[in-house]
Amino acid sequence: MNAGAVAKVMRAGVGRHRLQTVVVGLVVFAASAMVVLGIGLLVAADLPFERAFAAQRGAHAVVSYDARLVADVDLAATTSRPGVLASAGPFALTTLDLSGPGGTRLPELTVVGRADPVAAVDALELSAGRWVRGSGEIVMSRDFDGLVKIGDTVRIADGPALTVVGLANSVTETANAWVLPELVEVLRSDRPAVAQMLYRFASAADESAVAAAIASTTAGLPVGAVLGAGSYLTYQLAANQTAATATPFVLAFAVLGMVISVLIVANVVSGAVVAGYRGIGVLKAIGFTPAQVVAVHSGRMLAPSALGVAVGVVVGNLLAVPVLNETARAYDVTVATVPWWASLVAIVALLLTVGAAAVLPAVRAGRLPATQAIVLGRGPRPGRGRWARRVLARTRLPRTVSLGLAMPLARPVRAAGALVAIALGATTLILATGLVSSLAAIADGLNRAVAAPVRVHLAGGGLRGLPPPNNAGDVAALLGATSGTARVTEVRQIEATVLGVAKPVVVTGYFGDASWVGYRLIAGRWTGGADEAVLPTRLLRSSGTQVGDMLNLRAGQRQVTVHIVGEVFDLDHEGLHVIAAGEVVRDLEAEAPSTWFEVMVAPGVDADAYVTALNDALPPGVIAWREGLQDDTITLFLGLIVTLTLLVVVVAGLGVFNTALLNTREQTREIGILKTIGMTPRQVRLMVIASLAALGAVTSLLALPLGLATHRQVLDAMARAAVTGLPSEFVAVFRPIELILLAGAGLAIAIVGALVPAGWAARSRPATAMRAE
Amino acid sequence: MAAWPPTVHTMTDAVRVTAVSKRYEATGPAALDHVTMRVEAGEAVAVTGPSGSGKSTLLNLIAGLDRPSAGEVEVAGVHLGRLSEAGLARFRRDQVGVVFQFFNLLDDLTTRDNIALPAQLAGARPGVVRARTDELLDRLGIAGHANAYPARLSGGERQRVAIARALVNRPALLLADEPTGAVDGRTGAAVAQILRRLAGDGQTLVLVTHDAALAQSCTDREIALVDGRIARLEEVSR
Repeated sequence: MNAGAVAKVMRAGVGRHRLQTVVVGLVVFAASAMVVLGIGLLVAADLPFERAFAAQRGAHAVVSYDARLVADVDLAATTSRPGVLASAGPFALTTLDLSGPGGTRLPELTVVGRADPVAAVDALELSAGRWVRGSGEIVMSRDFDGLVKIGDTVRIADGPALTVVGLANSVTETANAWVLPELVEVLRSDRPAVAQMLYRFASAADESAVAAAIASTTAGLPVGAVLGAGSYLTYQLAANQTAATATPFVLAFAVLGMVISVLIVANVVSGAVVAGYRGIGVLKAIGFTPAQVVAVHSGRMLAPSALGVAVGVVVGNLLAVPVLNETARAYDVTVATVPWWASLVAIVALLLTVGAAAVLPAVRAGRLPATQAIVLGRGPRPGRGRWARRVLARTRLPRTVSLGLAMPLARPVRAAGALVAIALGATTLILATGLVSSLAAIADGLNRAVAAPVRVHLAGGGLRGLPPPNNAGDVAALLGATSGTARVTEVRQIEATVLGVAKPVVVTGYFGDASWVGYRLIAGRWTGGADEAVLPTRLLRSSGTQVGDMLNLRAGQRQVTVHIVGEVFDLDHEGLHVIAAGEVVRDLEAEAPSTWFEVMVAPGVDADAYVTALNDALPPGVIAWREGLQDDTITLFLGLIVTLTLLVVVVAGLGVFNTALLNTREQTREIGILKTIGMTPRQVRLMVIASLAALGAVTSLLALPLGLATHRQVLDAMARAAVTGLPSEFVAVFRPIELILLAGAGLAIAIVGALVPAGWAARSRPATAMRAE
Repeated sequence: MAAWPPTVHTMTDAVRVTAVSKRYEATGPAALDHVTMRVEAGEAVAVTGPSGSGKSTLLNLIAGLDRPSAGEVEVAGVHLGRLSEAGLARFRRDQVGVVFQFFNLLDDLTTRDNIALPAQLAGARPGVVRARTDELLDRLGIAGHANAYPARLSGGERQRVAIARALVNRPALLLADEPTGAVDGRTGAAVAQILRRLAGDGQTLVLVTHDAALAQSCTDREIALVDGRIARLEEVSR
């Protein structure tokens, strides 16, 4: 017997068992796509900023100079100061008020003149379109994707119109838009000339190192020459915190997906080999050695698997592109790509799994006497689960159902594999449902877009060191008089210090009753008195206080003591945030630099139309906008949940499909007999579905507590990463009806997976079935 | 729950096969070629012929287990060609009992459960099923093996279980395909005696066999098939 004979039998086996071959290929395909995507997501969640920063040669510091006080030659000299590794600039910079397509007002933008996106520092990544070539063109930051698109026209107040030709991303957000350098001079009009320099330093590990490097680089320049300097660490912290928050659920889904994939591949392949025991017996009877038998059967499984894994890896990489683009956007980095080795890992891991799952039962069969292998291959060993059949036969269940319920017991190992697959699939579904509800609640808790959908900002708002606005009273009066306004509150914000907390905290003061603005309380109550405040978890921990304690706030020479009456869910300002009565802010600083209004619109009023009408009425420099219902991070999370859940459930469904297929094929004779004595096609279908539904029902019992516990664990881990507690309503998101429906998740997966094989079994004619046997 | 026992059609012709042909492959040889035959109600007919003559194919068509390539099969007044697969299943369950050479019992069901199964599939009440099963266990002399699994039974006992199962729904027509083919001579004789008794009680019977003696001892008439065609029709003289 030579290798040619082995190959011939192997090829014949692939052709003869086409459906089985297709199922193995499909399962391996879905599993490899899942593994590639899972690895890609895990890698993307691991230090996304550092990888993007390295890839784009991000700037450790962005320094703005007053161009009237320093000449280009002075700026050039800064690049050769000790500790400066690389630099880019000077780039002309200005700030502009722009209106987007349809007259939409855009926030004030920092516009930088750059002839080329590529530079020694801060290489810009074009995510769409091209770089500017002419004076009538502008490239917008990717953050504006959705507000503007390629080809749109943006208009500068009292200035020219510019065509958007590209969307680009700077890893440290060095600008909101870019134009050709000569255009900046034209656009800035009578504003002061500003030059931007970007530096990379030899030492920039922490804030003090960056500050020291900036000081060393700008030393000797005229007083007032440096207008401002920003550190990359601000962006690093934000990106990595988002990534850390995402990691628990990405990890949960990726691990669940990969485990279920490998498990089902093993179950499908070993099941297919076991189903081929009769063939193994025949091969042995005609002289095949055990090694040749193993070669035939592992080859039969590896051939479709190789094709499946090849297509799966390609599809996994393709699927990862949009998913990881969203990931990159959420982490606010340029790109997240699947590492090349993810495909290699998927190929090796899945082919090893297939090989092992095929070789082990084939070796067992190879060692058996030929006659025994033939007998085993005819179907499950008689006698398995007889006690159950006997018990079920005595119940009042329809006979079709009781016959079906006993079927899995004939192949306990296969049934156990299907059971685990369904359980993990159902767990994923429950986890996904819970997370979607929780994340929607979290998103609303963060942006409070349902409670206070409209925000109105006054010029100078945003802690940018600009003079405080002086028209708050006019705006308040206008809002009060605007039709559709249900509630409005003035908000003022300042920076303050808290003894024992290293960084400054932001104090936001609400005037009047603001219990409606949508903050979610974790503990305690909303502010009622003029000296009361609620704090997010991180500040409570940083300041060593708890609800009921007093907290001293200091701004300049003034000090105010507030009574902490609640713990609030809030991640703004890295959680170093005090939300207090407006009087607290006023007592700390009479003229708060940042002022805005939060507005609840009346029931039935379209918030978008309200905003448009309001913007027409508001004085220059005051802008109203609709708070987004979702933010990028939450959108990413929801997208990931849907994609990963679909993949996991499809893989689980394929596992069930395969189990049902093998069971019905093995029991062709029994089904033929049952049809002969009068079992109708509907009854056959019911029997086969009942056989898997029994497993589904058992898994539902397992999956519900498992899914709820995983949901709780993932949320807790996300909250830990974000250093926040969670309001109970974010966790207890399952309504009774949802719980009842989700309890049937395993049952649903089992039934859907079994439907097609059950239909095939039902359609076969009894005489054909008996002949096939 | 469906009415049980099912309605028994009383017709002069229990089976009417008209110009029936059967090919398993479109271009292959005909397993049955233009066969026409009738079986009257209460009649016992043997279908004989050498191996490959089309006997089992004819029985499968009469039982509604397969569909003819051409022609028409009518059993107990039912035109099988007009029935869906579900209709055929109900027809088999209600009107026909089939006994196979190799018994075709379900290995993991006890004797009692095997016999009861067609009645349970028909939706009979548990008490009725139990009574009918007990009656058949007694009548076929296998009451002592009611709780035994098929593997523990002798060939003859298995065939009795198969006959009991075929009779549980009081079928209009009993079909037997080489019922003594897998048992020894003495057991075969016992099986033959059961069939004879059933035929004597007025049970319509179509017996497929290549055993001339069995055909002669159990039936009134013999239809001989050769290469898928009827070669001979003759009355049996007992």
